[in-house]
Amino acid sequence: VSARANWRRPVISGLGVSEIGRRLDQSSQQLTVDAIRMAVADAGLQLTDIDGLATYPGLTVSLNPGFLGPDLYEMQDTLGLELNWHMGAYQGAAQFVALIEAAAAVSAGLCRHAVVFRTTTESQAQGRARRGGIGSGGAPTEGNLAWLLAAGALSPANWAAMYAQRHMREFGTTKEQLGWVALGHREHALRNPRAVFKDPLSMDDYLNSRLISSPLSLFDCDIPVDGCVAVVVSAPETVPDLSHFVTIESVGTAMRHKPYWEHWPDMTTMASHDAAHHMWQGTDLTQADVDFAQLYDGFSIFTLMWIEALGFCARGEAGPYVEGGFRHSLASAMPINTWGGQLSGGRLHGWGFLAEAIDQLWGRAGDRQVMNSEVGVVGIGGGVVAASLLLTAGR
Amino acid sequence: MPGVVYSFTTNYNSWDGSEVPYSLVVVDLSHASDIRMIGLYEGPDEPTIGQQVDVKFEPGPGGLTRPVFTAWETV
Repeated sequence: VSARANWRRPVISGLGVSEIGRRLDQSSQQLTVDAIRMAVADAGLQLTDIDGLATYPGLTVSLNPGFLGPDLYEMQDTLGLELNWHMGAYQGAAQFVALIEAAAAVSAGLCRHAVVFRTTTESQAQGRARRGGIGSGGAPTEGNLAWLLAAGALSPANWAAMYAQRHMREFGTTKEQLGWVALGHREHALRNPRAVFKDPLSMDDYLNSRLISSPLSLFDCDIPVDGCVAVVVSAPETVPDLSHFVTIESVGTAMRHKPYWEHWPDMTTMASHDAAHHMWQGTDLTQADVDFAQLYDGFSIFTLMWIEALGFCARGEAGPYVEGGFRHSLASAMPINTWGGQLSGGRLHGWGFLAEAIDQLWGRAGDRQVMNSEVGVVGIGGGVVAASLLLTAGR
Repeated sequence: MPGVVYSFTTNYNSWDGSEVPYSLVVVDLSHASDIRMIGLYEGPDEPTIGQQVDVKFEPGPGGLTRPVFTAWETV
């Protein structure tokens, strides 16, 4: 029995993933329509069955070129949907805010089948230029990034680097241990046909790549792509009609500290620690039940933070945990980031982790398939925003 | 009263055309327990965690003013 008595476990009934790649010659709208149509078909539904629609981030300030996908109204109109519930939102539980709200909406009976999508075209927007800083169109002087940008900490790479530096100082985490995250993800990417990077990565390659913001270097940073992931979130009472489903056992949405990267009280932790704690409060399952973990890696240090946040090792021990690469591998009891993560699979801004978790639970992960995969955890976000999901295979 | 470097990074990638590298520091303020300041660090070497720093203010990106930290010198 769930500790959250009123959480009528919603399900994910369909998954759609558009073409994913660097500098795709396709509009954000086209990628989104493709993914949504695939998700609805995967659920065995018609567009006329869809009565909910949600997206992250919706219409909001664009932090980078290509950051925003099509907004909610645009897609409602394009698809001609008649909706009982809808939302587009940026502020909330990281890149899963719209997904988790949709789960709550179907659980509460506001709609039956909600499509939720995240589209990014950061690669085509970047073109052949180098990656820009946040707010490259002019630094926002308000909001929780104001002091960072004013100081010249223009990239999340700078912010993440300061957390990594502090983790190294307090726990002796090493550059090589960060490297094992990148190597572990790359090893999986070699088996993922959708991954951006398909060449092997050695520790020498990693250590010799150029520094971006110490201690982070090139392969500690994720790679922008174009693409869309869409899912159908369905009400629990629709389960008898579904051919397959993944159950959303519990979610983590907590926000318990100042929403400023530089004022975070203990920079060897992130919002992921709060989200993970909240997620475990909502379930009777424990770490020992988890068969795989899909853990955000906008930067390599984020994955280490998530491993500790979720309690897969003690505080400060994520470096030794990943050393040597075994923990990541399919041979381990709980493989990590089996699609290659954003470091090698591509920056779908959290949603690549969700897509992989669903494929793993449905036994559709091909050469990357985790055996006897029944329970998966997804942790998304870094710094001051985070969300986590505990998913179980439908039965 | 000196601030104390809580963490730092040296940035090597030019995000907006600025000259690189430059170091950034997050600084604990001795008289305020729950806020920090972030700014540039100026010195002959990279900053270190735990180092005591002084602050001055200079023009920063986008017409803003930013804190610039330097090594604390005892008189």
